[in-house]
Amino acid sequence: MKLVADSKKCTGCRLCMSVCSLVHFDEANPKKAALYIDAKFPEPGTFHTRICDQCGTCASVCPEEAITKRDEDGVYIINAEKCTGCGECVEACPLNVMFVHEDSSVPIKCDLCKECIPVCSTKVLSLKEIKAEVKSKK
Amino acid sequence: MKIKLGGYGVLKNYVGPAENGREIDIAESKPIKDIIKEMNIPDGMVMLISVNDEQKNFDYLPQEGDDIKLIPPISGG
Amino acid sequence: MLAYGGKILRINLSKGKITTENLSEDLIKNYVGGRGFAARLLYDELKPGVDPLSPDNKLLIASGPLSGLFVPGAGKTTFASKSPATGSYGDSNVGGMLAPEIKYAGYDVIILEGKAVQPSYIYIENDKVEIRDAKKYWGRGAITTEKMLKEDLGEQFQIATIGPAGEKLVKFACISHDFGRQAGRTGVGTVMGSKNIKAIAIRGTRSLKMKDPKLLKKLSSDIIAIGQKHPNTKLFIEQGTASVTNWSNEQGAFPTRNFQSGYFEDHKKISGDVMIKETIVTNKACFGCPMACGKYAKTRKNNRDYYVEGPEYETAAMIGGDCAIGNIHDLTYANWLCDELGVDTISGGSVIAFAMECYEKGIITDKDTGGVKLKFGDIDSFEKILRQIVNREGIGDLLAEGVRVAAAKLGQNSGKFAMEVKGLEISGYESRKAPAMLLSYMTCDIGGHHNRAWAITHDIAVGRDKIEGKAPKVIELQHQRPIFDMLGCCRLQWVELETPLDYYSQVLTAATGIKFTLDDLIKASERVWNLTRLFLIRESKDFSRKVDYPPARFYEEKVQTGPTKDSMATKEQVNQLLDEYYEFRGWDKDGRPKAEKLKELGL
Repeated sequence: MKLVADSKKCTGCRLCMSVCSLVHFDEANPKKAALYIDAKFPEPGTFHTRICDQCGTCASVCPEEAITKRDEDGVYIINAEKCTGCGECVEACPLNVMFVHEDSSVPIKCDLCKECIPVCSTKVLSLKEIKAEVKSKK
Repeated sequence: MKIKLGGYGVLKNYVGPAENGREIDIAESKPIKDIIKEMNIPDGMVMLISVNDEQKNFDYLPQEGDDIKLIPPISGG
Repeated sequence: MLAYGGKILRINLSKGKITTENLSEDLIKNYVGGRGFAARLLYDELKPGVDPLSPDNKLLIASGPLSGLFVPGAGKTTFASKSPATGSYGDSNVGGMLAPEIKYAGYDVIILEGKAVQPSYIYIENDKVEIRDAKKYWGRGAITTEKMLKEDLGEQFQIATIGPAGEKLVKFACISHDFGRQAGRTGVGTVMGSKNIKAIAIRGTRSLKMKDPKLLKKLSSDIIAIGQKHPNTKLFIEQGTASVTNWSNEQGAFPTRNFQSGYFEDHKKISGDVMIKETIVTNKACFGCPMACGKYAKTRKNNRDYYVEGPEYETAAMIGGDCAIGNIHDLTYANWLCDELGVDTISGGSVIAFAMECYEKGIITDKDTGGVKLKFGDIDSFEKILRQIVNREGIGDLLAEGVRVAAAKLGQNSGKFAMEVKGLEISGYESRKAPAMLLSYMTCDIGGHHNRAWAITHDIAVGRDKIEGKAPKVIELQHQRPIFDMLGCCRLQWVELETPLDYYSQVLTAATGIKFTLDDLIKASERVWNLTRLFLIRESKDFSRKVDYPPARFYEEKVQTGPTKDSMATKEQVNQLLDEYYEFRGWDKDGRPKAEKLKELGL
């Protein structure tokens, strides 16, 4: 499974980022979230919800094999003990959704906990099966 | 004819909560504005009317089984 | 200090000195945050009688304990100072993303004192705080400045900026933030301009810790889920505050042509449903808000696209109705003008409506306006006079002082229709047939503003002609609503989505680990209300109940048209409202808090 976003509906409220940091770190800090909202203002006045689509590029570039695919749903998970914080995955991420924060050398990545989905009033976020075509991505 | 009627905010005091609309029996269909009047709701207290989750105007004639929710004015800031 | 930033950041602009202080427990327990902190600190730190535009005044930027947490609408910031409009305590509240960022940087309150020697802006990135040169931005519009600063510093910086109006010390200059949100009222932008500060740019990367994050998450998730089912969530996301425009007209409560009437014949051309069809680009929320009331809009004029958030209901009322601009595109453009120039749309609309009426009556002539034929409904003359105000040219220089000062200078009985209380222009509700709303405006601690007690529905519920019994409801609201300005979050979840008030005391306790009951919060709010009253008394030369009188138009002139046609309050009713109000507040006949009330509140 993976998250998909209909950015047109996004109002930029950041509740998704807010709940993400709360669930993963027991803290309030949207800069420690595994998704991001790009606000394009004053023109054209739109939001873009940046989310991980579990493409696996991060895993393929990790020199420590610290990122592995979870069997049951195809979600890529970082093993914090193996991660050396080299930043290869952050660099390589095609969607720019491996987030770095000063509190830890381990990047923050979406683990598909799904907590962001219900807090969104405009239903920007939803779940989708990872299709075979995704695998063909480099 | 039976309809469900409830209100939000201050209108709960007149018709009970919208989430749990109470069933009322009306002899014949008549515009919602008349029903609002019969409930002793002062003029102006209802800003919007939702019927089966669609917005309707004050002249709407209720149909059997309608779920009518009355919405009070919002504050404008 | 859990959930709080924990520190006050003090920036002395004259000396270039930057220091921090720890928050005291006493301040937290008795004043909670936001407006509460601001009122206490200003009362203690300002010498009586300081000129609001002198370096002796201070500008406070305050977050609340809930700001930045996983709490719906937790993005509210209070700007506060001694107001150049009223000469007393003034504050104004802004949504957006600012308060959370202040807290992620490690602060609760930022105090600007003194005056910078040259145009400057404040740069804050966690512990790194600098007073930087702002020559590049000085003279630029507020929207333009925010865009430039984000380009220069990075898009994660949250910006609060003044426009040219603040630089030129127009008394109703606002502080703009997040491309469309304003701390509009009481001249907080004027005070910022008087300190030579163009903008504040802030970025914080720290986390806020909580006593019981799991409980907070549960409480908030449940509240968000309930709110999503409320029809007002949909209504607000679609139309925002403009959804009340039609209703306000049906009630004869829509200020029209400088409050000569309460019904604007063209209101259907500027209402929320018209905005959906004509102007709205994106529904835009403040931090953590599930009901996105910001309507980000676009209009086109002179072959150029103008992007602006709005118009809000208040802008529709004060520029749409009050200046009779009955076309959504003209109104959207007027909104953009005010936002870019840094003018509060409420006071700005009221001042221009006042000038339009003066022109109509021959009190202001072509000689004063430089030939501008200032007419109700005319966007071109609206723009020309607005620019004269911001540039302080011709009659604009006088109008830039607000309606009270302008009327005193112009004479010819124009004070009667200078629509202000305590020097602050009244916001968007015609109140002659709404005594509770009238009393709200009369007694609002910052002057003629609706946000402390939006009481018109109470008038409608219990009778619009009834005077007796209105005061207790107004007082109740005046204690409940400002709690949100103390907590640093938006009251609209409570007002519109019926979020129970005790959710806020529960979530505050879960976050801070300090036991707050709802009664504690209401008591703190009453304490602040009495403190700002003491501030007013301290600053008034001949203090009497007259400070609470509404403009004479409300009790000497009838509403001209619409559903409230011919209605009028009387002087006797005005006094009757005040008598009851003072009594319920524990104040004397002149409106001074009695000793026992102050003792009860620990003041």
